[in-house]
Amino acid sequence: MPDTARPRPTPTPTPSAGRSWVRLDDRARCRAMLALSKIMVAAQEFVDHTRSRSERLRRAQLRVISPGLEFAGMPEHLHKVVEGVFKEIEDRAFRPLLAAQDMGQAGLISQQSFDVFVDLWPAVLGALTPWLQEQPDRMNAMATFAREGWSSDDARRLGDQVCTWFAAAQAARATLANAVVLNPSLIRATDEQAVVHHCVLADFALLFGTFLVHEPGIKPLPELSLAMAKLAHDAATRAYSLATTHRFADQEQLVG
Amino acid sequence: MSARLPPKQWDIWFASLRPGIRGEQMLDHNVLVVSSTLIQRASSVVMVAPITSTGRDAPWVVPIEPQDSGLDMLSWIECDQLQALAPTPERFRTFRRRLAAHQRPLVALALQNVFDGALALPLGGS
Repeated sequence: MPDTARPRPTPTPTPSAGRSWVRLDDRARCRAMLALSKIMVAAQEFVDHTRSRSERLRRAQLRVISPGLEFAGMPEHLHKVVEGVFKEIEDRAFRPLLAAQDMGQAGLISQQSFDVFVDLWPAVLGALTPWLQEQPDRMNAMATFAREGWSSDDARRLGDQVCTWFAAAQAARATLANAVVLNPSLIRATDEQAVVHHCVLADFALLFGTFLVHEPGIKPLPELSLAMAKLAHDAATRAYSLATTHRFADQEQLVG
Repeated sequence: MSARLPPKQWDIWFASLRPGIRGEQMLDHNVLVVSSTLIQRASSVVMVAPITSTGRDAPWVVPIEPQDSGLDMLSWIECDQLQALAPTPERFRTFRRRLAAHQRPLVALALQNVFDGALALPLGGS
């Protein structure tokens, strides 16, 4: 695969505001070239929905990732709380998505589903956070558990490509969660809201993937699983980029 | 341009890759330097990720737009095609520019995907 192009003059660098949701027009163009789904392109609308519920979303929630109900070691009372909210999310947010006849319709339903998710998800995180803070190792154990889930036989029913994107999304989300635990001041105040919004979007898509894995009888649109996996990855990696770009910047840029 | 040698992490160079066989990147390519500047003091090679103009849809391939790369088209950084090159003018022929800072975390995550389980520390957390 040789690239025979000769060296080209370097154009004058264009000042960039960074990879954030305000540059979604650029991202949408790029994603269109990658032939991604309509749901993916609509990520801005998801984020806009989240902004109206900012008061429910907290910085501390960045530290928590979904363990899934199968995670061993969760106390019974906590398991019941999480199970109850998961059931609500499944019934009110995820099952309506299964009724979509095409991806256009799925895109519309998914925004309503996301609204429901944003209302319910903080209850799960609020229940999990104190338990996680009791023993920091639980976070790593949950991250490993969640990541390895995408290699299971149950998950592979969704297809290798879908599992690959979900696993990468889970890894990005867990990496950010770990980074925040290790360095609570990692995220700049000006970026915090956008980071939280993208994390919630990633959690939404990741939990939908988990739902598909644990409900072998359901049949979503064939493209929906992959679209959600890529949405999870896009949101999780963008959150990580927003949170950590200043740590990757050249020193002279920081000084400037 | 050899005045900028040795290449530094996050530099984009036009470079001569190693010979290869079908499926491997080879010959002349733009590349992104990914190995740390610290390790280069003790190592005789620099790790690079080839950059191509042919898109691949995978989490270990990072799309970069011209304003972020200095290249004149949408390109893809292939983090699964890493090569070790000597930091010499024969290998590193033309310096392009530094990769935009906001793209670097995405490359770090893509590399993490490639080396799943082999990284001891969370990225950006220390």
